[in-house]
Amino acid sequence: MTFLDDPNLTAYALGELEGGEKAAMEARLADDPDARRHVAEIRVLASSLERELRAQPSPLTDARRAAIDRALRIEEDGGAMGAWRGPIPWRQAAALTSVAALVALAVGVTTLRRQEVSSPLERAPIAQGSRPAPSGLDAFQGFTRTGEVSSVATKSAPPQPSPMRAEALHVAGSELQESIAPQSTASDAVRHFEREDRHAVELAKANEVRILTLTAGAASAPAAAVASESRDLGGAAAPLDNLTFSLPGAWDGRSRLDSKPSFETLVEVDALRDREEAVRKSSAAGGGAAAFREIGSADSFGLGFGLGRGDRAQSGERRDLSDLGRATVVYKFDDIESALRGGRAPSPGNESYAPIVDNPFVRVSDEPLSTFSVDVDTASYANVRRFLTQGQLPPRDAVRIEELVNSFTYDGATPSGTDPIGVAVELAECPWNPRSRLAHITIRGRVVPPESRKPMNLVFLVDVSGSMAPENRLPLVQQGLRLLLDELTEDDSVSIVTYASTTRVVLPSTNASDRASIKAALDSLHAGGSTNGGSGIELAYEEAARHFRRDGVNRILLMTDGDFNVGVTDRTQLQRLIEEKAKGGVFLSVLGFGMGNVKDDTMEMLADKGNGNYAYIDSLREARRVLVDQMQSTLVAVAKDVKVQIEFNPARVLGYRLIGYENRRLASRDFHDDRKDAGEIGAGHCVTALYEIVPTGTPDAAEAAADAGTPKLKYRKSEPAPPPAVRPQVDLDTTARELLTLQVRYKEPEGSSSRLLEQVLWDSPTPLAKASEDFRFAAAVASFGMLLRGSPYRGLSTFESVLELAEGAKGKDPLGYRREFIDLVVRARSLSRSAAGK
Amino acid sequence: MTAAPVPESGVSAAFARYGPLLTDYAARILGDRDRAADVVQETFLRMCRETRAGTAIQVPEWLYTVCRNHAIDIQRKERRMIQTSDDFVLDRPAANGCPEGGLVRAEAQSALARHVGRLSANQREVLRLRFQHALSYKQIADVTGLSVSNVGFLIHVALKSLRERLSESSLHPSRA
Repeated sequence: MTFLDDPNLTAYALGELEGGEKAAMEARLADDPDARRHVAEIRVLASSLERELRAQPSPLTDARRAAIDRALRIEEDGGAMGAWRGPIPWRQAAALTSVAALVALAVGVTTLRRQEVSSPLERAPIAQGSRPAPSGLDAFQGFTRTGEVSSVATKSAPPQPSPMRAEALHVAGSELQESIAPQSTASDAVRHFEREDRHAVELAKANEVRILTLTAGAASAPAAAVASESRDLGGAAAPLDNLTFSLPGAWDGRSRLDSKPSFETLVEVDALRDREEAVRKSSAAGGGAAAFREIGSADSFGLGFGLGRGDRAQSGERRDLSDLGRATVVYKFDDIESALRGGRAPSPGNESYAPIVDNPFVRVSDEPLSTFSVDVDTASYANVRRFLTQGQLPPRDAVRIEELVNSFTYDGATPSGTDPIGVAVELAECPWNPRSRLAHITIRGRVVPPESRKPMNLVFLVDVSGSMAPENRLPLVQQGLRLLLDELTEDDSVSIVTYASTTRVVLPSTNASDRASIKAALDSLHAGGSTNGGSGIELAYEEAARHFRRDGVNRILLMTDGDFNVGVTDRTQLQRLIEEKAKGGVFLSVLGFGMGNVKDDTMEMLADKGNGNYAYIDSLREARRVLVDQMQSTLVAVAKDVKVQIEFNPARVLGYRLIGYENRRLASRDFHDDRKDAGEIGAGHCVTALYEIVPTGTPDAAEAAADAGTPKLKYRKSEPAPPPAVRPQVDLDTTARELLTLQVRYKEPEGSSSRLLEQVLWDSPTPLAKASEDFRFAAAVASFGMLLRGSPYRGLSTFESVLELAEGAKGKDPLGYRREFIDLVVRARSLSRSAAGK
Repeated sequence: MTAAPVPESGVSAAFARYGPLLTDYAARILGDRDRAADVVQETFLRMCRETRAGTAIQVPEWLYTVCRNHAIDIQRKERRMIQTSDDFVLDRPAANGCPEGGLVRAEAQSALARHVGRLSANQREVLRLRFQHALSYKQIADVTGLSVSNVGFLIHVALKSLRERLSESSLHPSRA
């Protein structure tokens, strides 16, 4: 950092330094005319700002001012006036400071250098609803796990909203799970955990995560084992009554430890979405022991709980801790980073994003199969665009790379014959890592010519609560729906159901040719009332059922700003309802409007379960894109439950990494399991996935893999092999040269059993310049996504390289979407520059 | 930089001195002038009560902190956060068409104001607390709960960003 980049110089310029610091600064400036000039410039800017910002007229009207004056006089006369004395010992400040200290320490010892505290600007806990504010964090007794002992035992503060938004990750997941085997002694378990912690630390570093290790100690009798092994924490153990964990429970029995009665109820982590579910499971299963949720579920987090001995403990029970109790929780602190990076905003308002951990590189020897569900949501791109156009870098969990890449159209492969989908793979050099390759997979849905388009039975379920009033919400919904209406014919029917404080069928299912009635109904919508919906979704399903078209598309389009309260308040119940209805042929798509209230993960879940898709509409242009241009694909599915499985050839591939699709990964055996749900593909729609592949055979392949940050997955047991594809082993030569085999399973929209498509890819070191425009553009978008996420796998990606790649691959770009992307990259570049203070 | 001198007596005097500033501050958090006025009123009423109860009150930090917390609580409860740039927030005419609507319109759009509006929310808040409300780094840290060095960093970065944008826009006036 040069002198001119030193914030202290700015502080000096603004008169903030005193005494010794000030003198020191002046001494430095004495020899530095450039710096002195800089100081002068800052002062000029400062006075411009003062003039500018103070010049604004009062926001209080005279009437209002008078009213307040009156109120104050009344209040004042009600008692004696005191004089102001010294500073108020403000409790919240104290709690914040101690939490800040804890965080600062944790931060200081792991990967960050600066000890800043997160911005308390964002105080809302991540998940809204009935969850209590995260109080447990304030009472942490924690220390960092890089071998150093630095910790703060904080007093148990009264429950205050923690300024840190802790989002727990599921990183630890199954890697750690296997290591939790019954231990014979407490110290074995501790040693065991120390190993795990190191592993967790590695993973954490790779994903820029901080680790806090908590010890659960009984209020009455701190266990000796705990104290000594965990290198107790500078003082009295914090009482644990306000630390409660929801144990996910031993979800499949494998991870249960035999443990002696030993812990109290543990830390309440606000980020765990299925907390009630977890608690139920945990009590049912007898709780206790180490338990991890499976990887692949965005809501889960890895919770390692080591108990030396003991048996089950129920959540809520208090017991004596006579053996070790330690939990490793892996957290990602968005707020600290936002504070450090300056320009990166914490999730504003009530937006909640499920945390994502970038898929790591996987060694083919550990796991030769990669399986995921196809996903065509594009909401993340619209969301990212919203942040950038407002002058903010998006929160990293709002950036879902596969959704960014899939927001653009690619040619892909035409489906052949009677197949509803066509599959293609292109392989070339990887732009951000010259030692690896990039495989661009496209799956394209058959185009349905308009004449043979199926009849549609649509229900618009519109949120008309007060929060929908702004221009970019309900009015935009109305405009968008009018556009869609123009595309419908007399084969289609439309219904409008609204929900707010009450639910209403504004328009019963009506033939689309009756435009007048439908437009009138649309126009009559107005926002008002609380989002206290009666049975919005249920009513919508009823309307859909009324004119159910067996031969057609039956779909509910939920249009909302995400303020979710549609009567079936329990999330799992809602989920079940939607799944059930989807099985019956009525699908649900979710369209998000407006800013600040987008509950991204809830909406995605709904669309997921409803076999629909989820898009975010922030402008009329986007409304046109989603509802008109892509109407076919938004509304008409040509294949459902589409899954992809790739088998990599260990002779040719050392490691691979699926870019994005973190939420969509499936277990290998799920590929062949037709009962397992997956994504769908709309007519004319193309789904893209990217794999970064490290081939063997390059002289420094091993080094490349190491550089790529492959964590040691020595604990991951490979899945039992699926029924082997019958491939005659006759021509060994050919098979040996294959890089990978790509398999895609899909079902017809009304079908229940899947079909299989297969494709083989040979290695070919195609240079980047020779790859297709689609390939290069997709790579540019992925690279951009990784930059926005700060992904550790971004390699040589820079905003410049993204721009170069994208400009060169823009192609015809008839609708200007690629040009729009390029503009966004330019914005992001300048935002990140100012954030980093470079 | 020091805070404004403490008024000799009376909550009303404090209100006269800080009322408009606090209202502006709260309005930028809530995006709503009317509710901001409510928050400010509540803040000063509380000041009355606390003073009467003998609590020592440090002005202006106490006022800003209480006001801020209150505003953020409301924002959360009503779930109505309008995340926009500064210009939008106060430019909107009040619903009943009253004269408050003209708040920033006249200013509107000096380049500097526009650029400020494009800073991140944290930077904007801290910048305004410094240059509009004349709080010291330490006071800003108390009010927002950030550390002093974090505040310094944010201001440093914000000023840097403003300087860059201003020089860019003077080179390319159409892009300002």
